[in-house]
This record gives sequence, C-alpha cells and structure tokens, in this order.
Amino acid sequence: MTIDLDKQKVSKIFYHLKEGKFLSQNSPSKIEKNLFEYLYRHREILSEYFSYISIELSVGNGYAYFSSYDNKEKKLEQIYELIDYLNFFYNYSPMFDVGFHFLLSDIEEKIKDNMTLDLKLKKIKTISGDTRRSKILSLINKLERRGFIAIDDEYLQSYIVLNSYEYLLAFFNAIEIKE
Amino acid sequence: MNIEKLFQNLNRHRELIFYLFEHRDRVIYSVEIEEYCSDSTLDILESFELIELSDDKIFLDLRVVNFLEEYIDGDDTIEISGIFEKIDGIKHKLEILQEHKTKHQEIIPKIRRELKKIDATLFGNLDKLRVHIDRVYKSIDTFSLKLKELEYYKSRLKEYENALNGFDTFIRLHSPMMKSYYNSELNILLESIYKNKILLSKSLIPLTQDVIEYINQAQKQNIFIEKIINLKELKDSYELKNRSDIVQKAESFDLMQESVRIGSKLHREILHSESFYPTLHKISNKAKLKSHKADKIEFCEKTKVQEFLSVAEIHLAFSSSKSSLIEFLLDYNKLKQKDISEVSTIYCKMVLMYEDEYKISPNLFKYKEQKFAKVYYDNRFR
Repeated sequence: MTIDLDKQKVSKIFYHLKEGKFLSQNSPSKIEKNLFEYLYRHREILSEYFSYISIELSVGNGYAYFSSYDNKEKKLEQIYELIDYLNFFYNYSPMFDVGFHFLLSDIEEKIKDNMTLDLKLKKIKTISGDTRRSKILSLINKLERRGFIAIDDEYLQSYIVLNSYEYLLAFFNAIEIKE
Repeated sequence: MNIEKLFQNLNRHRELIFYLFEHRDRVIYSVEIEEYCSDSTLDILESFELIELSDDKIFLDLRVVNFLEEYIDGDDTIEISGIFEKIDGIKHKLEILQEHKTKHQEIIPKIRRELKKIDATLFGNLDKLRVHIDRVYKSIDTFSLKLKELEYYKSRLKEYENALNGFDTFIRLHSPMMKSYYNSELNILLESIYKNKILLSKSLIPLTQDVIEYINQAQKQNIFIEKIINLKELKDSYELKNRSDIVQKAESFDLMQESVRIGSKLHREILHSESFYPTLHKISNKAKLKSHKADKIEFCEKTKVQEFLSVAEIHLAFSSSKSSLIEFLLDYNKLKQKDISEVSTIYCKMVLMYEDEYKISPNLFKYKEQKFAKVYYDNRFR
C-alpha cells in the first residue's frame, strides 16, 4: 500500500457499511456523498484493506457495499420481501427508479383513492404499524435502513431513490421466468 | 375595417376579450359572460369580427387568438411544416425580384420579415420540443402512452431537423443573390441566421439523444415492472421456486444479512454510544505504549536451601525416644543450629498437638535461664 488512507474516513466508511447498508453517490447526505467519493477514489486500496479482515468490498455504478454470501437460508426470505415492496412502489408510481422523489403524504393520498394499493399495503406481512401512515412509514424504513432510499427533506418527509437501487434492478432483471 | 374603431372596441371590451382568450380551449356560453356585456354589445363585436356567435356559444375570433398567442408566445403547438411554406414564399419573392429589380425596396423588407419569422419559429419550436419531451417523460405514468408520445416527438424532431436543413440549404443557395442587393439590414440578418443555425444544430443533437434515451429507459422500466408483477404473482401462488431460477440466482445475492461483528470486551451500550468513537479516537491518538524496564535483580551466588521442619516427623522420632521432649529437641539434628526461641516454639506446638500421647512430669529442665517441664512419650502408645 503506497497511499496513506485517511483513518477517520476509512473508519466512518467501515461503520456505515458494516451494518449491511449501501453508500450511494446521489445520497442527500453530504457526509455520505463525500464518503462514497473517497471510497470510489481509493476503491482498490480499500478493497485490499478490508480483505485483511475478511470483508469483501463491492463497488457498483454509483454505490458500494460489503458483500457477503453467508446466511443463505435467509436470502430467499429477503428477496421475497423485496418483491412485495417493489410491487407496492410500482403500483404507487411506475416512475419509481433511481433519482425518483416521493412524499410520504403523496403515498397516503394515493392509497385513499386506490383500493388495490391499499390492499397491497395490508398484505405485506413484514411491515408493522396499526395505522395506514405507520404502515407506509414502516415500509419506507425497510428500504431506508438498507440504503436503497434516503430522506431528502425531513419537514416535508420527502424521499429519494438512491443509486444503490440499481443493485436490485440488476438482480431482478437477471432472474429468468420459465414460460 | 376602421383600425381606430377596432382598437376602441378592443379597449372598451377588454375584460370580455381577456376572459374569452383565457378560456379559449373550451366552449364559452353566453350565460358566463353576462356580467361583462349585453347582447347588443355582442352583436357589435361580431360585426367587427372580433367574436363569433353560434346559438348560445361565443368564440373569440381566430385571428385575435393567433395574434395574442403569437404576441405572448403562449401557443403550445409546434408548427414546423409552415417553415417550408415560408421558404417557398421567399423563393417566389426572389424570382419576382430577379425579373423586376426595381421592386427591391418593396420586396426586400418582406423577405427580411419572412426570414426573421422562420428564424424565430425554429428557435421557439426547439424550446417547445424540449419542454414537451421533458413533460411527457416526467408526467405520464402509463408506459404504453408515454412510449407513444415519445415516439411522436421523435418523429417531430426528425421533421424539425429536415426543416432546419431545408432552411440551411435555402440560405446557402440564395444568400449570394440576396447579398447582391447590398441591403445592409438583410446582410446582417443573414449573418445572424447563419450563426443561429449553428447554435440550433448543436442544440438539436442532445435533444435527439435525450428522446432516444427516454424511449430506451421507458422500455426498460416497462419490462422491469412487468417482471416484478410476474414475480409477485408467482410468489403469491407458491410457484416462484419451480417456475424461475430464483434459487440459483439467490446464490449471487450478496447483500449482508447481518452486520459485521467486532469482538470486544466492552459493553454493547458503550460500543454503540455516540460518544464511543470520538473518545476512542481521541484516546488512541494520545495513547503511547508504556514500557517498563525490569529492575536489575541480584542473584545470590550461594544456593540458599530452605529447610522445612515437619512437627509430625519430629513427633514420630520422639515416640521412640526415652528422653524428655525438650532434651530430645535440643539434641535433634535439624534443630541443633536453631535458636532456643525456635526450639521452644516447636516444643509448645508438639505439647499442644499431642497432649494425649505425652506425659507431663512436675520436674523441670533448665536451659539458658529458661525452664521447661519435662514431657515424656506415654509408653501405652508405643
């Protein structure tokens, strides 16, 4: 290793990614955006650095994460959950994609007028909450916790779909359905 | 038509004209405009061809609408085909000019006006195309409709490109002839049109790329949404594992299911507290490894052997002796070098420990100004 890494930044990157979250280039958080840029500039050295503690750093198009092939039995469970979430969001708006902005209140309003959407929300078993609003929040939190979306404006409760969402696009696109 | 009277009427009934213009995209009924004017006024306006009346419906005259739209540039429609008509018109005027050169003072201003109109139309329409394309991509939710609209604008862009090229060819072919009339205003205009043409051609390239990209994205998105819907249906009917390769593909799903664990003896609450990291960082920066050097230890050259005296062992030896305990101890090999105080301690210990096996006589034994009772081993235990 010939370049001295910024210890503070490296540890911040580690503490962020170790939770299974993504770092995205289009994150509304300046700190995360800067960390991603630092990571991207030093991706080769950092990959080597983390490999010493048996962690694999994966860098995609505008996003990065720690990859792991452990817990195979839980994977299908998580993929099934994600299918439910995406199916809901595409019913809410077909424009749901990287860079898409949405408001919590807008989803709420749409559900009021759209029984199918309401039913889809009710059928998602992996989310919690007694009210419609709390259920939507729980659903949003699920994707936010993994780093697929981020809050853009706390006052308006507006969210943005991050670059890391491309990971899901690539994964689900690769699945082949037998006719 | 008297222009003065026309303006007077427009001014007098401006509120009505404004209302009709604002609602020009829908049918307006006479009941709606009762507050603005009477029936007789409507008749006057109709006679001036400012409005058209049809039963109880009122329409603003198309010429007024066109004039106002053009003036405020409020028309959203993209008019490209008109450019070719205007070019044909200029060509016709140039032919007349060639035959009747004396009419140049009359015809050249008209040519200038037409050239300016074409230039402005090309500029305006490119802006409108940009706005329309962006609006279609961002606001239409239904993908089939969105794709149809985008394909339409793609063809309009092609039409625009043809019009731009047609105008360019026309300018290149006819500018020498137009310049031959030595009209400075016309020459300046031709220069400006040439520069604008380069600018428009440059702007057209990214817009065409954008519309193609939008179409590709919309198609891709459409395919993806359909896939998610299919996956969801198969999942809900418990057929997903059999009817897809999801199990194999899940092998490549490498997102971490659990967070990375770091071994530490510190309490979890401390590790996860907000102040932990800054504190640790601060300490680690200041901390230095403390190294103590061991003091020199002087070893004795002579080996010192620790002697252990076993009371039980002495008692065993004493049990076969006929002398008193104190005399036996003073004579005992391992005690010969010992101080009297150590001997007396062992004497006391033995008397206390084996009292039942010893006989204590009233006779005393004197040794270095100390008196010891004479104690013998009881023969009964031998």
